[in-house]
Amino acid sequence: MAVIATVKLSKSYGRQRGIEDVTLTVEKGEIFGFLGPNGAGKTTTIRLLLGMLLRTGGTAHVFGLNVDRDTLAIRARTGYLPSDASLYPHLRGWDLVDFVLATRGLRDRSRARSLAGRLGVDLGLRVKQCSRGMRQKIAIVATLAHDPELLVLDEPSTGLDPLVQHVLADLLREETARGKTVFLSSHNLAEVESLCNRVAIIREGVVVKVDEVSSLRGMHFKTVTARFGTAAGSGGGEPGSGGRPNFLTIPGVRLVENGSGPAAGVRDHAGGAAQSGWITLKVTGDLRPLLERLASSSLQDLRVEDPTLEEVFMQFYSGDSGAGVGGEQR
Amino acid sequence: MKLTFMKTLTVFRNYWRAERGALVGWAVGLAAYAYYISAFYKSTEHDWQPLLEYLNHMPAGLKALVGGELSSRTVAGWLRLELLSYLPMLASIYVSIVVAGIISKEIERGTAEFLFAQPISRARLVLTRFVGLALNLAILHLVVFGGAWVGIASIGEEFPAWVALRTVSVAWLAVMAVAALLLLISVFVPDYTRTLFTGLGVSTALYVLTVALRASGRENALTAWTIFGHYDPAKLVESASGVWEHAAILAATTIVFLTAAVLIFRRRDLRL
Repeated sequence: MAVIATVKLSKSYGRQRGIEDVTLTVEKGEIFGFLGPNGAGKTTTIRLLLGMLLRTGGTAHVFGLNVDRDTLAIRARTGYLPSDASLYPHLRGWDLVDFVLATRGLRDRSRARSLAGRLGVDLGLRVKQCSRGMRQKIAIVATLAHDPELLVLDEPSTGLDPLVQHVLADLLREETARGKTVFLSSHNLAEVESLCNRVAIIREGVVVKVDEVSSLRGMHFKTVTARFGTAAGSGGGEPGSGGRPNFLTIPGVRLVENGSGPAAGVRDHAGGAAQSGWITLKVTGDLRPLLERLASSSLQDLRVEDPTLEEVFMQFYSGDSGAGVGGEQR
Repeated sequence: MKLTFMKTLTVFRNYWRAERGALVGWAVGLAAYAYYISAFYKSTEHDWQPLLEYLNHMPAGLKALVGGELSSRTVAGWLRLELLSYLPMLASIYVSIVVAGIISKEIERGTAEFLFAQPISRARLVLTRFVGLALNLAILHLVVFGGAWVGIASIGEEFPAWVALRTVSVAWLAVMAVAALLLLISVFVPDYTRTLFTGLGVSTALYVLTVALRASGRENALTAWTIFGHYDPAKLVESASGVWEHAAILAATTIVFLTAAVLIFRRRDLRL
């Protein structure tokens, strides 16, 4: 059974856009990334799942429970870390932990103590005495203290130094290894890329893509960097191309950069930096026509790369992804 | 059942901790005010004639403002004039501040998201905090009662405790009804500062309306339409007549406003 399941979940604020027809399924034990820029609808979706907002359409279930009727049961099993969490300034870290535990009928502080040790935070400090990073650590400890089955994290690494970000990433991996589920909303694409099994990309309130990170990176385009010798290939050149074939007539091929001299990461046969002409292309769809034309040219070296998640993300937001809009895309 | 109680207790304890500093400050201030006003009665003992003349020649409106027909030559009249007439207004200032903190302050300072991520229903949260407010307000009224009693005793005078308690209790009920009204308003105003000043404005307007109606002699309209109209220190000091009726109306008003606030808050988006 899915931990989170929404079908055409919608929220409208009158004239203001909320989210529209969001269909998602998050399975037990996975780290699910939720990507989108500010105002795209990430936090609205989270608040709907936790019953802070009332939906205007569709359905949403968490642990199989209805988010309208069973809000308290859902929250009892969920740890939610809001974006840039604001905590009560007069309370100590331990007070917050005790509050979170007590609202679930728990008293045992041992897990919080262990988490605080790993994150390097003193829970005896009052919130108002803490730096932003320390406050974020306290919030993380309070979120995880009751050992929730589902973690909903909104920008969890905000304010954390790189070392603590690594500790947090390790913690999240450990949680999923124990069968917990993580719903991670983040702007930090590198973090999402390294942690998440699947991601959803939300744009202007609509989920434009849900897929595995590896598929997402592989399916959209590839970056091809080719280095050529001085001899012209037989693919037919054009004036000023140094005798290179004109690849841009191949459907789905787009020029990113070309030039002469060393191309990053492309080495000549002697192991030195390539001194001859090189070209970087972005290829959408079938690679074979390009490879065939490259084979008939004076190709000396070739590198084919999947895009980074950031490049995929940017492609969705530049409007040229051609991705379908809405609907569950597993 | 045990978990329900534990949750309620947790919310209450958390709220109490947040409010206790302000409560102590207000309690000390009101106790000192009640004590000095009461003890000051002695100093008018030899010079009461000019004061009495001054009061008796006041316009009706001003008389209404300070508690109606006056007899400052008795302890009861003095307390009514200098303390009991203003008590609901002072308490309303406290209530306006505290009620604005029940919902709006949480939203404005961003703690609402942390709070509402916990398995606590909105109804439980609001009701528990309102009970906390009721308790704090009762403590403040008892402190006024105690301060006045000590002040009167310190000058060797007497004021029947049950009369003071009766008057202070109805004052407490009147302010609780105002608090419930302000809570209902705060459900629609998520901004703390606006909630605070709206609360201060509404409670002051109700008080002034009561005084104005009382000065114009429209007692029926007054009691029917305003909350403070059910608190008349002049009558409460003199007799117990109608006390239960007014107390019941104020309690019912509180319950109606409180229920409306909770029901509406449960079905509204949290604009965090």
